[in-house]
Amino acid sequence: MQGFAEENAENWPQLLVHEAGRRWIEGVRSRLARLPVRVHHSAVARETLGIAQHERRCIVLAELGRRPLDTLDLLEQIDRMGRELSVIVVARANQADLEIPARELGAAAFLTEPMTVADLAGLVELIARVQFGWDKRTST
Amino acid sequence: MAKRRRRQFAIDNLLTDSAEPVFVLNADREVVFLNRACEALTGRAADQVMGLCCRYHGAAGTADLPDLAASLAPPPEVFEGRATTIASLFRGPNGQRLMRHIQFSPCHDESGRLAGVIGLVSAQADRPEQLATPQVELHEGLLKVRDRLYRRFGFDKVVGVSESMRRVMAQLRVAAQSDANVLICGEPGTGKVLVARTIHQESSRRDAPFLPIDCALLPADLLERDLFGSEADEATERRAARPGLVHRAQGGTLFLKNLGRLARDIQARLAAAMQCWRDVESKAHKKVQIGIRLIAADLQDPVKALAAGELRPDLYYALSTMVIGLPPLRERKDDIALLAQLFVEAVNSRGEKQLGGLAAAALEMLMAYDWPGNVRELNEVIDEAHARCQSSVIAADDITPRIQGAWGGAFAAPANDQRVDLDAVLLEAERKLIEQAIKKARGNKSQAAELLSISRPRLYRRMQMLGMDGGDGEEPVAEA
Repeated sequence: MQGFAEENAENWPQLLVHEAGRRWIEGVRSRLARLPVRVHHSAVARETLGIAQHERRCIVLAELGRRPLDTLDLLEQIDRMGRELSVIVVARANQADLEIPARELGAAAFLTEPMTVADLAGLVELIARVQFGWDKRTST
Repeated sequence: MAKRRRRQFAIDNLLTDSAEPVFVLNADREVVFLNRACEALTGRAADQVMGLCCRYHGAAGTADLPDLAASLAPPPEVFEGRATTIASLFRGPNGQRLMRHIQFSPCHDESGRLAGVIGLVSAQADRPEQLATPQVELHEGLLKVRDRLYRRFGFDKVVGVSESMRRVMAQLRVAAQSDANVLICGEPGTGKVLVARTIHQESSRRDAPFLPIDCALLPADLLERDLFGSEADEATERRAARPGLVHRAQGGTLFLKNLGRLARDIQARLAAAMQCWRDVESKAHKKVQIGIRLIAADLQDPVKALAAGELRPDLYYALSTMVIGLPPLRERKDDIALLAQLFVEAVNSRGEKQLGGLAAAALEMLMAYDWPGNVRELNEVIDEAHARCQSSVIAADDITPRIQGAWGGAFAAPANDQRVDLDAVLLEAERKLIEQAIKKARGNKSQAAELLSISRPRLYRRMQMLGMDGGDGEEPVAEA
């Protein structure tokens, strides 16, 4: 990952975590600490939308949680922006039937429990590598 | 044997005359039985709905009132052997909205295989307090969210006055009327997703899901798992069996973005699945949509991808029944004014600031730009200019400096303490204008000269003087 250090951290792409539980956030943050990515937690849809709108390089990680409809509504609003950003949705085991609506609303990936933080962080990292072009950059 | 027949007869009568609405689906989700109470509830005779395929599209239908197939559809867990109760919306005999709970019970044959599903519908309308369960709230809320999503797509949302876009729109109508697979190609930002969603939305599959999958985003193994499903991880019990999207989206449309990035072994699996669906459909006696429709999109010409070995021939031929090429914005500049105005109105509708449109100078600037990011870039530029604008229309100064620079960086006002080399600025401006004229005239120098209101020999002399390519290709003749 040499070379990233030259880049100002303010310009790093952002992982925007919406509404996820603390254990997910901390786990993902710690796993991604070695990568040039800022992790921001937002519990308010308006804030999440504002950041997603203005961050040029951004991945959204959203948990369906106790208010799945709010999160699905957020997905529709992000999709409406027409931005090329990826949304990863995390669902509880009994929310598996929301995969189809979530995908329809633009979720790029849908993970259901049971899963480990490593599973989740691994997926975020894979998607980040593609979306932010890191692999290409490190190979040149 | 007689005893068994009598028993079967009694069960049939019991079910038929039961005051509780009951229906039975076979393992292929087709209606094989519907009792009188269920006929009364739905206003549909059993004969009319026999064989109707009931596929589940999530916790909610896609319209205000779903069709009967969606109302009777069991959720996936029933086919995994679990009895489940869900709330479902019905269209009543007079078109009224009815909410009922359905208790689904899977039935197995002697060998333990799933033989069908019995659905027991609550006879009485659920009381308001029963309806206010989180599940029903979610169901109703999802209807609204999906409705908002679906309103964003349709023939009226694909706009353009240029000849190339008119051709695309004609192709779209044909694609929506047919059930053929479609391949869309176009540069980034040309509207491939809009076109794909519109085809789905205007097609007979509109009530089934539209599932976009980005083939470039996920590694091959995860993508394969998403598409074709996975077995349960019994060793660690960390993962339950999961049906793939190609199964769960049956009757709907699967949209594969960046098709060229799909691993070749997944391409092979997909091509084989499509062949299988075609075989089943051709053998069916009635018109059924067993498989999914595939719409794929890629940045590059699929023929080139085929020649380069990135696309398997079997998948290419299965997908290329219809190929829609989306023109880049620089080749349809006639559409810029219309699109820009629509984007201004879209931002107006989101906020407090209401702008009338664009000033002539701003539009001229947009027309002169090449738009490598196509319509998406135009949308972003208008969004930004709208935010910056302090008057009633977007002025040239409100347009992002990137576009202003491309239009004529030479014309940019110098900073207060900066000196200006007027000759250099004028030469640069002349060069840019000549380049633009030649481009607009598609390389025809006579036409370019006409656009610049100068003679052709003078154009050549100026090009030669500026050291431009093509300026020395022809000996200029004396100016008339």
